[in-house]
Amino acid sequence: MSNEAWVWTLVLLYWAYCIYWGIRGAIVSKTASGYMIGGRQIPMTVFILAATATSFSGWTFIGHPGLIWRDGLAYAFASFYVLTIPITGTWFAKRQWLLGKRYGFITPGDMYSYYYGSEVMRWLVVIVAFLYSSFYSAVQLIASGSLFHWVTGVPVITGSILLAAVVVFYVAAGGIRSIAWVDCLQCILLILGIIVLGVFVLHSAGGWDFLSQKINALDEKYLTVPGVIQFTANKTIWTGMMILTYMFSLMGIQASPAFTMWSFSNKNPRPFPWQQAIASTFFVGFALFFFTAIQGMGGLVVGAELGISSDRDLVPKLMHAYLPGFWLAFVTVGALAAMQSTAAPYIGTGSTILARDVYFRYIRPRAGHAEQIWMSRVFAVLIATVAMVISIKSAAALVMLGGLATAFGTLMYVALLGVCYGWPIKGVGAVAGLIAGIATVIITDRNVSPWSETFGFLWTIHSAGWGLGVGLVVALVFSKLFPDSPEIEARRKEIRDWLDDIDRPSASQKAWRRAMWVVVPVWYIFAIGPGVVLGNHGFSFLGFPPLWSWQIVWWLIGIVMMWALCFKAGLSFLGEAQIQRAEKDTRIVVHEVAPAIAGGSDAAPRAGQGGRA
Amino acid sequence: MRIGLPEIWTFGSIIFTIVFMFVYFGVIAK
Repeated sequence: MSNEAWVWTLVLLYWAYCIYWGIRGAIVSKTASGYMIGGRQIPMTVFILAATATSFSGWTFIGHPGLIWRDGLAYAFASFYVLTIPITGTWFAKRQWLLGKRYGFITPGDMYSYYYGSEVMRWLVVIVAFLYSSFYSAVQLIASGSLFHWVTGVPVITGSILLAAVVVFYVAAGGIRSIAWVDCLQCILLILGIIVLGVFVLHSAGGWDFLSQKINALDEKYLTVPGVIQFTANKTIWTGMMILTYMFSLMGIQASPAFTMWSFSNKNPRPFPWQQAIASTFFVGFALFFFTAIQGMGGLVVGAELGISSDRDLVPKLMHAYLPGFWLAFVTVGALAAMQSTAAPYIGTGSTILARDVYFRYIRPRAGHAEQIWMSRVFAVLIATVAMVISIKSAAALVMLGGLATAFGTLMYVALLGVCYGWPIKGVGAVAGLIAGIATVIITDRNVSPWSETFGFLWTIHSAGWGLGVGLVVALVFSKLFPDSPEIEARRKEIRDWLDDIDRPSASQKAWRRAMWVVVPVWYIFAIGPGVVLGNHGFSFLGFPPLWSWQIVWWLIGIVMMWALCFKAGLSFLGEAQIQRAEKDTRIVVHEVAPAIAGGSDAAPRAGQGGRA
Repeated sequence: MRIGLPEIWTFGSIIFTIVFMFVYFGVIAK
């Protein structure tokens, strides 16, 4: 069979799987919560794979090795996002699940507006969710169209629309249940695809002895980190501080509104530590620290021979040069899966957030289950259409706005620290902190800022770092100046008391947590922070350059750290008795439909919440 | 310390990686 025939065969099989789950999800999901958060019944294995696939996008597959090729091993520290993305889930996922279970929250807007007593919070979350669901997703869909063009010759626009249509179909038809099941396959394809391409590159380029010898002989700029910090502006230099704050940006992925909905969707929190410590940190880390790095660094060795002239070309050219028929098709489907596994949940959750937080909340509070589901579908199609039109008209604007999404996600830390851990952040403080954070990100983002010459990634600190710092300070100061009403404080106290009671750490967990207050900062400093400069000429083994060896060792230490945090310190682990208690301790304040429609069976909603019935 | 599934997976992953590095980069893909 020709290469094209293999690609079309595997792509059609993959599409058949997607469409099957779209139809199956549509048949099963009959209620608003069933469609939007899988009826809080997403099984353990499905969540582990789905959340992992969502976390790592087409960027991981195509863009990440490309930047390693362009910037060398200093940039390769970004592979540590296999840990820093899920560590956000370690801090927040379990407690969000507990809150969703107890109060019946469906969207993140429900949770934030209830906790902070402010509808402005709901709107801020809608804006962040919209950025993710439209622009960030469209970046993925356009990238998939480009790759499809490379392999099959189908024009980029046609391919993008075709691929987007399949995604929108299963997202709109079946909601999060379909997304989750399709994500399972996509997760496996994503990881295997990266490994397969890396293996072929290594063997075709002459084996490890040859490759490592050539890599070790590369210019110093590809093999070392250029210092701790540089007092520059408008430059992307991978200093220790830039690596650290870029990781902050990616920590925003699991703080995003979409991941709050993933947390709500789970049957119980059992999968959380497994997704964070094993599926993400180990399995995806294994693919990235060895095989993505081989693609990027190997590309530097064979670049001239293959005519690689831009980071975007790297992966397509490696695929074209080294992969035979079936494997070319397999890796192509893996790349498409990586892109679509990220686009789908963001489009899905974005559309349900619009349907619940805007349509149901403000336009049709008496909308029933079917109407809410259909409006979600309409919004999914609208979001995808608007995003595709913008992406076709201005690809540059799309990449710019898509890039802002993860930094904005990081800002959700401001709100989550209050909700999950009781940081002294009040309603006005949370709103002011988020707005100040958003403004700071825009001002300091090199790709977006009108003043990028002065403020763009100032002092080699990423906009997410500046935004989070300013957002937190403003939130805390405004919280001091503008206290909440006694009613809101009482509501918040009830939440805090319950959360602290049901999630009280055991004596052993407390001891582990005390140790983690030292271990985690040390890991951050030496694995992804200023201490990485020690790796420039530290140690080397098996032919890996010193910086690459440093990364592998700190990744392995990171796996142990994640195990300690998730399981031993109990940050994302909940015991059986606590899970059983959470099943019973419900105090529903957000209703799927207005109680009169539901037959008056629900408890009366609190003023200003849920269906406003 | 009790050894359960999390410990087996965590430390098993690390042992696997170390063995893999020696076998793959030192022998198979040499």
